[in-house]
Amino acid sequence: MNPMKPWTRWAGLGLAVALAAGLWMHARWNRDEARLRRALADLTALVEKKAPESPLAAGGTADRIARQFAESGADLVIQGLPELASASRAELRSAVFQFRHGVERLSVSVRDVEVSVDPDRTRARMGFVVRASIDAAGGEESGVREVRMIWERGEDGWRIRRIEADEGLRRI
Amino acid sequence: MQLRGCSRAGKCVYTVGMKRASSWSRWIWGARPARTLVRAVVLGAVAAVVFSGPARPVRVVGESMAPTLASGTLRWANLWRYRSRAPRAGEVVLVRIGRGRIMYLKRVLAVPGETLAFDRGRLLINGAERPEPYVRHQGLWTSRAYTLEEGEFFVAGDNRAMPMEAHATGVADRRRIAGGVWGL
Repeated sequence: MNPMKPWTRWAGLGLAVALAAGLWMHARWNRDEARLRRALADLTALVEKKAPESPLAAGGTADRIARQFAESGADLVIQGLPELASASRAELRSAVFQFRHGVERLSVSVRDVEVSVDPDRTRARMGFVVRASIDAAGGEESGVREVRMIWERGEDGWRIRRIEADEGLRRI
Repeated sequence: MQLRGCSRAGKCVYTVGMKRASSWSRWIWGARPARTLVRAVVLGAVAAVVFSGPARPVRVVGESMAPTLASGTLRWANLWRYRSRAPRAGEVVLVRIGRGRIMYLKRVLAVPGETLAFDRGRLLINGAERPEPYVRHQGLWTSRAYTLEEGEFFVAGDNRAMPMEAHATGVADRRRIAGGVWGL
């Protein structure tokens, strides 16, 4: 006679399935692709400006944004911004601060995120579409850009090494 | 045994040993659930194909195509239009950016082989002015002449009241042109 009751078998099976699902979710959460997607979401939240901010708060935000970039600096190839072709963290901090100071509201939404990590897991490419809406003294402007990013893994995690942003249309 | 109904001739039909489905279940699944399921699957597949290809709903955001397309309006796009032929000058097309969830709605102004330029708002194709009846405010757009190569299309919005720099306009590769808009 089998001493095991039927419900214990089902409970064991359920526990095993739950454990497998938990392990799978844990592995997914810690994958580089998932980390990079979360890093992008964090960066998007940092870039947004929903209300007026004090110079101190703006400086803090600019510093946190600049820290997302590689310590040695980053290449920025952004349509309409040739002066930031290559920038150190300090330059980025200053540029972000000045830009945010000049706008009253900045909303950003990111779509179509694609992430691919190189086999050696030290470099990753990311592509997405960003829609930005800026409310400044001159009025409201909005635009869409296709963005390509290169991230590098450093001692302090993934950091941005290069950003390219353009409209997807070549100007003549 | 349960009486299901009788004909005028007095012939009655009984259900033996079967439990009748509740009215809700019958309303949802019909008299023959298997057939209803097949119908639902076929309908879902047809809808998925139609709404992702020849009748994709698109919402217009922004004023770059005013007055032809107002911001906030809903239109139907045909993503199969340019499978068999290339876009023609004057057609309104969808230009894909990224993976295509966001697309530009623009008008094709010049096709491969044509030389395009703007001169104080006038569109010049191969040196001759091309009338643009869809443009309400001509604006003052000015550009250098550019000859489009194979697979290149020049696209722009109809709202020329906007400065050219503030307008997403330029050369789009053929592979980016995803489709057209019904009725335009």
